[in-house]
Amino acid sequence: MKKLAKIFFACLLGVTFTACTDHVPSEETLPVQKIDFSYEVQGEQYTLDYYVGATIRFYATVPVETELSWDFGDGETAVGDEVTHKFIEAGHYKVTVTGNGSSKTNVLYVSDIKPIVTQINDVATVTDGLVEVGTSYVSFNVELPNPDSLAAIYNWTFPAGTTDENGNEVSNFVQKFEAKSTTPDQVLGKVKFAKVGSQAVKLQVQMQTESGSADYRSLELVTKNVQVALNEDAPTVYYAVKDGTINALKIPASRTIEGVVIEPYDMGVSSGQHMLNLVYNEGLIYLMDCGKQFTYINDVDGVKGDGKIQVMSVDATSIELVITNVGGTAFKDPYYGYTDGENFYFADRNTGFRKMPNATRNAIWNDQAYPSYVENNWLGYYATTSMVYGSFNACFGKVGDVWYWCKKDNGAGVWRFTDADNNGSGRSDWKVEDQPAAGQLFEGTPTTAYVYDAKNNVFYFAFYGEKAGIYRIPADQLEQFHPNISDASLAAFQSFHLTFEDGGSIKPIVSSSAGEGNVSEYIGVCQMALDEQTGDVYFGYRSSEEEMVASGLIRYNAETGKLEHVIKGVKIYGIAINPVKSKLFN
Amino acid sequence: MFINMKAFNKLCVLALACLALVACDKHDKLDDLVFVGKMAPTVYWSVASTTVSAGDSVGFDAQYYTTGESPVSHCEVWYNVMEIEAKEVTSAALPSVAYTVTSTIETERRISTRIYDYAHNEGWLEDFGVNSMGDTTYFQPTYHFSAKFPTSTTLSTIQWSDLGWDSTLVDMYYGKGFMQAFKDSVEVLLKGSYGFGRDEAKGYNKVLANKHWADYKSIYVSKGGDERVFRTQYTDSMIDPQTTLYVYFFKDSILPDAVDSAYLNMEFGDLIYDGNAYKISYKRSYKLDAQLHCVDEEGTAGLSLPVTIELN
Repeated sequence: MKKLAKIFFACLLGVTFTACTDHVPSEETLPVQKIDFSYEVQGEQYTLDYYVGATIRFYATVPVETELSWDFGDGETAVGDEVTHKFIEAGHYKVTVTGNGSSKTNVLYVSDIKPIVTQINDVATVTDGLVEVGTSYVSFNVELPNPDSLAAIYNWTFPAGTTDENGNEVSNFVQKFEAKSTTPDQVLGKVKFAKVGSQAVKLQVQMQTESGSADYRSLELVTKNVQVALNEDAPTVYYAVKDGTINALKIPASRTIEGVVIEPYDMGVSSGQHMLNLVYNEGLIYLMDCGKQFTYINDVDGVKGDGKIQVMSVDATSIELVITNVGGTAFKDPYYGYTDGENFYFADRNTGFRKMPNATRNAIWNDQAYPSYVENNWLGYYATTSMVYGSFNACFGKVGDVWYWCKKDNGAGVWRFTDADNNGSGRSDWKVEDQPAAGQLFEGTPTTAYVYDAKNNVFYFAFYGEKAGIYRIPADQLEQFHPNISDASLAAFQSFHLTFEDGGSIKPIVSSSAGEGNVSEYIGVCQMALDEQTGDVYFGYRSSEEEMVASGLIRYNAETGKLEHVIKGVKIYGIAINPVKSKLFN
Repeated sequence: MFINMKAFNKLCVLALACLALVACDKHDKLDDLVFVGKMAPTVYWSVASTTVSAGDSVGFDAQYYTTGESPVSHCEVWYNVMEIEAKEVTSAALPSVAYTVTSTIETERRISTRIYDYAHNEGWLEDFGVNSMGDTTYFQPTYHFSAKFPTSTTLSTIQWSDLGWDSTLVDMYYGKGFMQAFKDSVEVLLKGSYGFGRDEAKGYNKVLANKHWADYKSIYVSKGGDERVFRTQYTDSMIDPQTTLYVYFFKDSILPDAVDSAYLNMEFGDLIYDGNAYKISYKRSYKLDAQLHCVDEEGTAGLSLPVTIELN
């Protein structure tokens, strides 16, 4: 019996182990997939362009179980697994396929014919690709997709001051191409430009509607920006135009050059939603966009962030993502920034700022990888002064060993500290004696930006509210405003207030209906940039009193000691100066 | 505690059998819950620039490998086309109204389609690297290549803000009928009567007349009306005892026909001109959500993270 039991158990074990085979999932017949499709332009040319009249192939991207019927959204239909179609008008179409017991609609943009304008530099007058103001000639080539060789009229518009090789001013130039001809009735020769900056050459083409017709239709306007260089080396100021693009402007040491009009360059790079800071470092401009929503939002799930930092080469030929907070916590969007040449520091809305290497690219914001460098309650100011946990950030940076941290509310002013003052973690039991020795400045005065001129040992500060304006304060006069602007120091403070020649001054917008923030966190003058060669200070101003002092790019002219408009009418957020002197970008 | 040896052996064998049965993957329920997919190639890429001029190529650096049985056959760049359309127009000629229409709309205009293919090349294999200490360190053999993918010149940014006012451009970019709809909206605000047509809104109160008095005057004068007639024939004034400032109002409770028709005769362009510029702008730009697919010989594709490319 014992032996029998042993045999039985041995068999059981054997069966158990041998029955256990490697499991291979059985092949299953999947249910019929819902229909889906894609499309592509047939042929060799213009396959990316989806020009009107192009033959477009539509095909299913899942196994087809039933006959497919197609609706192209232009009143035309077809049947078949794979069909082709030509759209006779440019526009946006909704193409629907029905089959496999379902239907799917995909969008398709059919582009109108668009001329491609290319700039041809005159080799005799253009060196190293640099089109110099007043001396360099360029001409233009147009590629017009025109398979039916229809007649076309080219209307060129040139910026003021453009001249041809004979010195004649050229403002408009019309060329007509007869049907089936590739030769215009007039030849547009070489031209040169009288102004520095992006010189917009515009081409409006009117094209015969069909062969033999007397009717013409306008194609979309094409603008070719010719980047015209200065005739001497100069630094460049870059600025983010509100709801626009990054612009750049040459700033020669003499400020103006006789006979030369200096206009800005449109760098063709979007200024994002609220690009409050631009930061220059060794041939690169860091673009800090805190996103569309920059004031309070109820972000309970921590997913409403939409800010990011990108980095642009000074000639805007390269833009890379540094770090993104899209989909992260809204208040952790990057608002303000500073670099010490090795590391990049970026402030959130009202908690603190963080550090990452300058070389960081394609990073996704997270607390573990980019922990705080400092937070409000890591400093002895917290709980011992007006600074509270949610103290609203503004520009910050380092002068020598001392950080200057501008704050707009919940402890407005400038909160100075050294790295040794940074506790590295939060505390609520700070004592008055723990306050950083550097001390705060202007307590209670909303401070949005500062810049330090080391050569002249002078600070510039931007404030909004009761003491709104730009102030130029020698470093040795600063301590009288510690911890605040007292009755005794008020007169001295006012003496540092900068004005325009006519007495006008800066009053940033403090109205919550103007899209410039809310109480506690108006944007104001959100950055200032120093031109080290002249001592001039540049900043963008969005005015609350356009009729008094217009919005624009404004400069403190160190020679006159007054504020002055460099460009009127433009609304600017962040600003930075590339100090490397060049005729164009370097 | 005493345990019978025989019973102990039986228990051990029984436990072993149970363990074997339970551990056997035949009882793995995973297959009942999901369709197990094929191993797809792993793909990583980074682009040289996230903004390029429409028509220029986008450079990128790619790495891929597969641990599946089928070797990689080729890679493909796919992208869709997103359009961002921003409009802003303000009735700048009438500061008391300053009616502004703004909109920014982002719409997918083309679905993600295959743009460019890159045949697999064994020469791209990099099977070792050097770590930060300078030592050779072996890791997953990876294919590494650099290439470009094209964009279309038709997707260049259109920005219209400095061309002055052109009704054909307004029709083209804002849509036919927009100019009249805008003018109607301004008229409703001017007359302070919401939700009524022009005729119903003619009867309005003196407070609103005072608020818009200066704008009405400029409308009337801009259409050739005599300012003195406007002041004396149609309107009157009094001193507000509280502010001691003059307030102006129309004499009748009905807007004078001459003033009414002056507004009706205003061109859309007059309405948006602030004395220096026409306050209307339009911008249309495009961006691409691009992704690199590396496909093995069985057609299984591994996808990179998407990258957004802005065109200008």
